[in-house]
Amino acid sequence: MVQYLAIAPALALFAGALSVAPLPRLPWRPSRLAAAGAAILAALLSVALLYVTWTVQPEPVTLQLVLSPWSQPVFRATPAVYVDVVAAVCVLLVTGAALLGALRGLETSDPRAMSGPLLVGAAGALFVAAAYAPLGLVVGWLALDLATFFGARGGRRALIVGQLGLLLAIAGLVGAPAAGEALGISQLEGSARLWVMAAAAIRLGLYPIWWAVPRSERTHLWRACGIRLAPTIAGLYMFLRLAEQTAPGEGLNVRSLLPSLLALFAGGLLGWLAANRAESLDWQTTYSASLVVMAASLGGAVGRGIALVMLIGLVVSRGGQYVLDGVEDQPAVRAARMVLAATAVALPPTIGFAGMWLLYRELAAFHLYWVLAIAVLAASFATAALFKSSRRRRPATRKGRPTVVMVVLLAGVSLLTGLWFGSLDPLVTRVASRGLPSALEDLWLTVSNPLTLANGLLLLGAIVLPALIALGLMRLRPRISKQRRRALRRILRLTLLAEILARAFVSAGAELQQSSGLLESRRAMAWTLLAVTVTGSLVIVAGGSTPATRAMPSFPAMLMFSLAALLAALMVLRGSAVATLGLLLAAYVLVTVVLLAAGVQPVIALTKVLVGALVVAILAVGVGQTPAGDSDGSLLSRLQAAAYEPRGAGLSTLGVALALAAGLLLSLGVHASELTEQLPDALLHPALALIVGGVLTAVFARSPMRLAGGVLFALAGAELLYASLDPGLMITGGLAAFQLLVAVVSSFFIGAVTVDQLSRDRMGT
Amino acid sequence: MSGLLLLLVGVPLAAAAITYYLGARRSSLALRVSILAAVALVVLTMSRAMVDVRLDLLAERGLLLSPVAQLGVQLLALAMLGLVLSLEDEEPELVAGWLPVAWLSVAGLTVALMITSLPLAVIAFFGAAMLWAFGLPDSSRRRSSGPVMRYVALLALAMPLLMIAFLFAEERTTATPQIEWITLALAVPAFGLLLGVIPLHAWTLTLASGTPRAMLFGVIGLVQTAGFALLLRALTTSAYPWLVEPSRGLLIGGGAISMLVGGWLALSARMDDPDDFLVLAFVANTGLLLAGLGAHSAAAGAGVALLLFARVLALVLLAMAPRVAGTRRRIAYAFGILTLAGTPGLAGFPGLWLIVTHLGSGRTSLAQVALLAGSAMLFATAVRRWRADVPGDESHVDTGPGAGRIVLVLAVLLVVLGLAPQIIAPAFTGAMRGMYFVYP
Repeated sequence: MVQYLAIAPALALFAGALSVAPLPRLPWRPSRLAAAGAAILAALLSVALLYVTWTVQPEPVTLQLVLSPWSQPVFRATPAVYVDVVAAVCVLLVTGAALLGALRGLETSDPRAMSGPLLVGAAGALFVAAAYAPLGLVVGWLALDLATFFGARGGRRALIVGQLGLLLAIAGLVGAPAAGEALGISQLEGSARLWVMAAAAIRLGLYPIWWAVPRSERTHLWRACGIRLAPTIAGLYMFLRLAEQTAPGEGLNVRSLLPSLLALFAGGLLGWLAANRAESLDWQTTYSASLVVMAASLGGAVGRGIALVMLIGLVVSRGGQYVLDGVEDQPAVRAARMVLAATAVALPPTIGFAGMWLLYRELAAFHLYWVLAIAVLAASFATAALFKSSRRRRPATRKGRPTVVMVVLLAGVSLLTGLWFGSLDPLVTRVASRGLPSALEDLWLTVSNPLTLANGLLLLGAIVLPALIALGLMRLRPRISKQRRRALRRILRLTLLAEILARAFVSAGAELQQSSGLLESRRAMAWTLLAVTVTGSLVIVAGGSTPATRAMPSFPAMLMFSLAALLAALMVLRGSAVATLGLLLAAYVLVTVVLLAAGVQPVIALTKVLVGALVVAILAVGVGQTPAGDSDGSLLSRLQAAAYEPRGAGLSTLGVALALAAGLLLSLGVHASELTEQLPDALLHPALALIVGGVLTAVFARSPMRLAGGVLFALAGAELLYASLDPGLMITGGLAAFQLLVAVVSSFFIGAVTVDQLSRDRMGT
Repeated sequence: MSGLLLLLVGVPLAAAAITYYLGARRSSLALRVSILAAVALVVLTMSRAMVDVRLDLLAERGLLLSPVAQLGVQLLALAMLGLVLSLEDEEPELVAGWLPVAWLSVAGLTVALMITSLPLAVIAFFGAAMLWAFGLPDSSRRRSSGPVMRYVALLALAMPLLMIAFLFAEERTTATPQIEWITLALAVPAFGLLLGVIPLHAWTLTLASGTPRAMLFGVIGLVQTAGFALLLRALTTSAYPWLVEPSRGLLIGGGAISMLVGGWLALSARMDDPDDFLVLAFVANTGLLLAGLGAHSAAAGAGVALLLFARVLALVLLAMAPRVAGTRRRIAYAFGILTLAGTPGLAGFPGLWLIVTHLGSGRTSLAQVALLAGSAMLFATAVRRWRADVPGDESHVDTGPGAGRIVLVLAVLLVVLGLAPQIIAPAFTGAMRGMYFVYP
């Protein structure tokens, strides 16, 4: 039963969300206390989960729970949750963030506003619990996307980008060796790992594809505790997992660091340029998340350890800042706000400083001073943004006692862990497999040793300098006009660019469909037959066919071909109904003659001419049934109506003749080198000539009569090939029935064009 | 037991005769008879005892219900049941014209799947597909004459390709391996045309633009489903083991292109057209199925079967969509498209997962990415269409609860199968046995 603990926090949060769900016809009234109680329960269950995965010895426990037992013989993986210490810590952070939101929600006038953060929190907890295994990741991702869409009004953009991330994750998972096996995401390598990293970046809303996580609302900023922080933690959990198999320093190259550096800089800058406090805080959160990603990219146990410390710092500082919005300024709140701000800008002695110091120390150790410089610049913007957003707080409306208690606790955690880093050491050791030095102690050791003094001062300067630069940036900001700031924001956010690209993509597809004539156009027929020819030719080319040497066709073969080519030419070029029917009958007669000459059983050969006569008769009946309309109803006018071709579109006669000549020359050039016995030239060439003529007639036809004539002409040519390959009576009968069916169907539609149309066309109306 | 095979053909034939007799004046009774016949066919095909039963006919030819044929007939019956349900409250003239033709076509397609001779199967198949030309009501015959005639013409021209391909295949010996490629050069475009694979898909769009939706969905739901079963049959026939390997690259490559371009064209289809995006979504889905067949893995084969089943359900849901209004119509369209896309959480996903995980590594990874990109674009299509009112004939909107309930039940079913495919997966694993005999 203990394995059910793995999803218990998510279920508790979900129950809390349901208790205040803004749904019509709920059998219960929304209750703030029930929602908050569920969030507290979820947090307690998360603690229990961490306890279970932590304490049982000798091996760390991994709780496994199959969510849906997909059948084993087919599916080698199944949706399941795998929770170990790392996942349990992240579940605790998610439920902690949701609890913050729930307690702050106790003070709102509308309890339904609590449901969004709790729902996204529930999905985030499920995501973290399930993300280790491939199909679990899919299920968790789907849950988080749906929760964001329905619970946080993420909008269509968030949904589309979220699903794009999911498909990137699937691309990584299926591309891994032993795809589909129950491998964890931490075991991915090479390009598979890169795909999943890109997905993780989308999951946490990292710049530049940041739309999967919805923006915070200015009036309900506290909701961001669940809505923004839960997906952020979920994405960072994936980065923590992906860093498990990397060696120390493996990620210290431009390719690995560039994405996080870009996000870091853009997050800081956009936070500084933000139009309001909510937007600014969101971008600052992105900035902080980028630092965690950079730490995870360092690789090895040290990288993972630093990333964990920074993740805790992120949740503490940003969670506190989100919930403090709109809370009355009291001494305790003021103090907590300062501590949380210091944590966010990494000033000592907070946990924020601990993480940042250790990160910078690693960068300096690998001589990545250019990365350090960019980080300092980004930190300057982020610090300026924090200063600015602290000034423009919403007017306080709530005393917020539970909130005050929570933020004081958060500030206490930040200070305590910063001052006494050893308190985090067991956790870091368990997650990262090795401990980390205390940042404050390390700072002291570095600056107290003359050999490392310069390095220590450099690192200390890198941490303190942004605060000084930020003061200058604060003064610079008003000098940039509002319009310019707005324009800069629009450019940097890339939303406009993404929309332009998306529209261009859609327009290009629409243009292709319109210009190619694939829609509702007669050209579709020609394109399709061209595509058939090209596809077939490509297959031949792919097979590496070599041209065979051959002798000149015999005189009888050439004679038969010439006759067939003549019929084909007349069929293509003569458009009247009488000529079409007459040439069709002639083609069947020729087929019979050729088959008899080739020694095919007379009964089979004569069947062809019989079929031809029936086909022509059926088509003639169709012509006879053409509605007379206002015309005289004579057979001639009916025949003209049946083969009526609208004026205008189509190739000129010269063009048709050229196409025919090319087709006939090609048909003369084809030679069945490996089927000479079954397909002698005397049969093959006339057959191909008739097929070419029939297909071209069908392509250029504009009346049902001509179309039917062309198709049946081609089928008559194909008869020569069947009869030589399988001269059985059953096949012959089947083919005859098929051709009669084609004729009947055509006859059914030939009368669709009335003689009235022909009369109007003659009059030029 | 072999007599039951005749029932598989007899039931549709009887249904065709009865519905023709009842005509337009008693179209509601004809619908009930059809529902009964479709249910009977579904129940009949569930019998495991009938698998591999043979009934000899003339000249060493006979009817054989192979596992693939059983799957094909099952899917045909299910599609027919759904399509008949979607016809309730349609104009009597349309129903009276549609039902006999559809049943006759089902009979022909069933014969095509069961008859032991592949050339005869091809003739039966194309003949049955062509019957749809008679399914139009008189009122729309003139307007639809162009698209239907082009459909008939392309079918008629594709038939010789496939016939000659199979006849060539019979002539292939170890001394003439080059015939493999000639066979494929004929069979690939023919099957591509039948299944509407890009760039051979234009006829489906033409049909969509010029004919009633009932006919379009009949062709996609029945003819193309039977076409897949025929392709499966060609790949499983022990007479052509050499066909399997050369077809691998063609199926995966062609399928990936179709999924990618189909998804793109579906996304960019005109917003005011009610059918184009649906047709293109089916084109993309066809690409996914073909790629699955190219994977040459039993698991991917099961994925293809699962996806075919989901495709039929999506087709029924999409056919029901015009009969409901408001949110339910949106749900019907969105769930239908997302199922075809293989979006996680719906019935199409288990099939997509099995296919992409079994395509292998190396060059096929590009195909995997193309398939997933196509899926993403179909997802975007569903999202783009959610807010847009899909045009439809409002006069056919069912004001009663019936159609709405069916839509909801189907939507729930798609979700359940997406989350728990184990409910039906074992049945399809059985149907696929012996499929990839070259690759255990």
